[in-house]
Amino acid sequence: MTKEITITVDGRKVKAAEGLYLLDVLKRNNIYVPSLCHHDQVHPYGVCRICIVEMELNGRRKVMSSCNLKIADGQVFHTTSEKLTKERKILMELMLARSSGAKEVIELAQRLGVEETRFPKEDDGCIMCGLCVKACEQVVGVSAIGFESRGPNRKVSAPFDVEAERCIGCGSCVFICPTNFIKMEDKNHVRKIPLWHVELKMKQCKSCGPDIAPEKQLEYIRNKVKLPENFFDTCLNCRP
Amino acid sequence: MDNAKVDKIVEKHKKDSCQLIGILQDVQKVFNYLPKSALDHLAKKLDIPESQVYNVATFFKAFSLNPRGKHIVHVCMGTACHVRGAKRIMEDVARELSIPEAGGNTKDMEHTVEQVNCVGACALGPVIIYDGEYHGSMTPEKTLKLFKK
Amino acid sequence: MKRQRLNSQESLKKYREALVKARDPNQKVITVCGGTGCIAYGCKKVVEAFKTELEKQGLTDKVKLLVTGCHGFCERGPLVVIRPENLFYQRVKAEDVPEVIEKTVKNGELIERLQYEGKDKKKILKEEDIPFYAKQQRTIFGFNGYVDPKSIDDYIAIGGYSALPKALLEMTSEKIIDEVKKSGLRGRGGGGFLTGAKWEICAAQADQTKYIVCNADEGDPGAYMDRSVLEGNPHSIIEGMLICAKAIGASHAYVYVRNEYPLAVENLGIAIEQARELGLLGKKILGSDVDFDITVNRGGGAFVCGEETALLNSLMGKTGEPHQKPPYPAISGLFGKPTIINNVETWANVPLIISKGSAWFASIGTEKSKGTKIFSLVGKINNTGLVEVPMGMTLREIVYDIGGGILKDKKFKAIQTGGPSGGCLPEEKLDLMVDFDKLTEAGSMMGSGGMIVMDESTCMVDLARYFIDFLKGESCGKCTPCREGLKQMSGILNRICDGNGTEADIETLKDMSETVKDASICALGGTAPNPVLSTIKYFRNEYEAHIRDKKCLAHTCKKLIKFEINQKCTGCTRCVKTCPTTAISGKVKTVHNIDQGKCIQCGVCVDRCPFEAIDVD
Repeated sequence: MTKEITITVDGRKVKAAEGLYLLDVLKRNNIYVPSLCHHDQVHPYGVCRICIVEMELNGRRKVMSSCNLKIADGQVFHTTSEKLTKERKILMELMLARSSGAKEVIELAQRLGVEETRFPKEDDGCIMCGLCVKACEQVVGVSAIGFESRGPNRKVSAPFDVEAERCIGCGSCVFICPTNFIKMEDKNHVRKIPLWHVELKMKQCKSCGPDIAPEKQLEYIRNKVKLPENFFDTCLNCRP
Repeated sequence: MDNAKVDKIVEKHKKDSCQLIGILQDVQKVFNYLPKSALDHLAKKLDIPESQVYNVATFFKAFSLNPRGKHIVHVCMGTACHVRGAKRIMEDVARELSIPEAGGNTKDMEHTVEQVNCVGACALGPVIIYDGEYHGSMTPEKTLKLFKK
Repeated sequence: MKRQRLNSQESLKKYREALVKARDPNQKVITVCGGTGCIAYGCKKVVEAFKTELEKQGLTDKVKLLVTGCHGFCERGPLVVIRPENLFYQRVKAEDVPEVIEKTVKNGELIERLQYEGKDKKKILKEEDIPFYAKQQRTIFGFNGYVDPKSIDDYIAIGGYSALPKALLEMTSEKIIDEVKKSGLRGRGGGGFLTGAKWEICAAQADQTKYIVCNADEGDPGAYMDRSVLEGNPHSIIEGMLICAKAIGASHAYVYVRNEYPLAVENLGIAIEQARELGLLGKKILGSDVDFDITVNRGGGAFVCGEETALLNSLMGKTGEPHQKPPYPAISGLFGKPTIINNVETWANVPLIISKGSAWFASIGTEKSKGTKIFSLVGKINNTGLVEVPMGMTLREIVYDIGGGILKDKKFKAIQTGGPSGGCLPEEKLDLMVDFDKLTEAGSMMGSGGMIVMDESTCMVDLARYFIDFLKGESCGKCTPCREGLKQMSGILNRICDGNGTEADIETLKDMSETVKDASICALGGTAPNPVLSTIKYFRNEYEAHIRDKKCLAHTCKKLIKFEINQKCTGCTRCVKTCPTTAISGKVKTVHNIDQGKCIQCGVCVDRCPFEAIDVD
């Protein structure tokens, strides 16, 4: 049994299990803190920094991201100070400058009171949240894609920016991408994910015909869970 | 043949993927850069994803994924060298050798010029390292002479 | 020679006694500095010349040749010090060697041209009397001049590894931690956290596996003290880590060294091998229950790896991506285990604290910053080099008394402390006492100890741009404020330097600085805006001159300067021949002219002109 502890958020006492992430606790208690790079399925990476809060520490307040902050008894947090409001706005300005066309960024910026950015605009659909890379590693377990370079040149890519050999075409990266930057297309029994330079043959259901999933993905699952060779010959619907 | 060279390096580091940076340093020493084939083989040997190798190889400044020239020249751009005129040296070298100011290979592949951030010889600034050898108190003229040698 | 393992305090004592007995205190020793600076100035040839000459004269038995680590006075290299008299020779060349042996070593005569000359033109005889050294307190760095870094015997002979048996066999873990705490030692890597307190937290962790890491990824441009300690006295680092091993209960350490420091890697490797041979690394060290060994890891060139969480990731074969603290490494570090990370200079202090006692250490320095600190004093200063001074010395004393003032007697403009994310302090701060807190209060920081002196020819806006561009490129790119924030700040600063700045830019820079500092994951972003904030605070007029008047007061921002030929021109045509863009025209023996449309402000003509005939405005 995990211990129940009490933290203080904006003057209000909140009870929660020790070791939970602050952002999750705030959500459960209907305390709104904006977030962008957070997703329940992957370990919090804490990179967009929009979910910052202030934590009292030795008489001072320290700004920290809440998504990856494990709570401990007696901690005192502030989520709505003037400082945080201002800093979140600047962060949104920075994100708007990078991804001026991303709907999700524009919407969140507006919600936080930012209509325009002071900085020169670019239209990079990728906000560098890293969810695709993390999902590929932590959820799928293949690490077909990763980061490249560093600083302002950092981007997500397949190794050497050529066909991602390990990619099984499961599409997790596509589904988890918050800005719909990673595109996927199934056509003529081929699945394409252009960003990773991947084209994979789809397997069809032997009895009803349509595509089930990429052959590579089905093989991956079969090997992982030790399923018989013919397990994916038919789709779910056609199984007895 | 090339794979055997990589194998030897991996063995030297006891197949420890924690030593990846050191391994890449050694691989680069052998090939003068990091060829894709060597890195692919390395990933298999160490049993780590290619994405990790690629990430590390592109993250650290010491590594080059492209072939480099016969002589490697580092122009120190550290602060002490900066205030003593390193930028001028880099500009002049770039102009004389027709390479970008950020550094690069000369057309004849004789030289690769790279900017580095402080080589820890700050008292001698501006510093140039030509094939591993330190040259201190450099001027644009002295630097260009090094290239002509 | 295969050495015998020392398996008790007694055997180490005997080993040391035998070494000391075999050494004559009056032995003539020719000490040649073999630090990186002196190597660049050609000391290897000097060493070879000494070897040949000593052999030729049949003096190899009588005179010892000692190649040491860095002595610190890099400006004057190659340095030669003749002991036991400590006669100091500077800028020694291979050609000087026969004369040094013939005159000085054999007959005690001095060679004036190799001696240091004071400001009053008087020659100074001894190393310790040279102003550069006289005001220093070289408790750590002083050993460099007396040991061959490749010889464990040299270290043992001067009393090295004497703190080790004390810590391993006579003191409890608690007692060691208590001593380090009482000494007041704070981390020399920049953080300034109390070392003993960190050890205490780590020691209290229940996990049985703990690690020690030496951060030798000295990435601060303008700082090289860790390099010199590691190259010159690697055993002091090993001894420091061994003491910590006992204190916290660790059995393995990693030293993360920059690959740019090949000599440090080499000397450390040799030192580890020798320590293993003597049983000072390995199992049951000196008969205690401490097992300990060290692995050396090389870095790959990333400033951010100086940040401890980034360094740990890098040690695990990944990129140098930091994570938010807590959790602190002392609780969850390498492979998730409690880990103590200290930097080179911090480790070097530890044996001294144990052997001389915490009270001795705490007697040096200021109220909250104890001990000495090594600074790399570089830039536009006469005596560039490494200086070790007690905490609390004023900047003025360091710059003028030790550093000998500004190069070419120009006017002091600013001193930048704390590396790229430190701050620039102006002349009115020269009487500031240097310690962790005073520097922070003034808007700069201690950092790892870089001190870069600037004169009137350095443009402070350009300098802020230089630092932000540097940090932008060194940012790992993981979090938004650092990656995007520094990119935008760089854009603004570049705009200002190009003469396209607006009045609002200064406020925007200040606004952004706060956000980048607060919201970034690690200390790189957390301190990156410091050079911008401190230059705005102390040199706002330069920003305003760029923005309002389109003028660069230091005449360095290219878009804001113009080269013009004045009447001093003799028409020698030298500039015409060197101008890369053929912007200069003029007949022989007539005043030349620069075509402003073609001029790229490269400055080659200014360098070439012997008559000061080219004005920069």
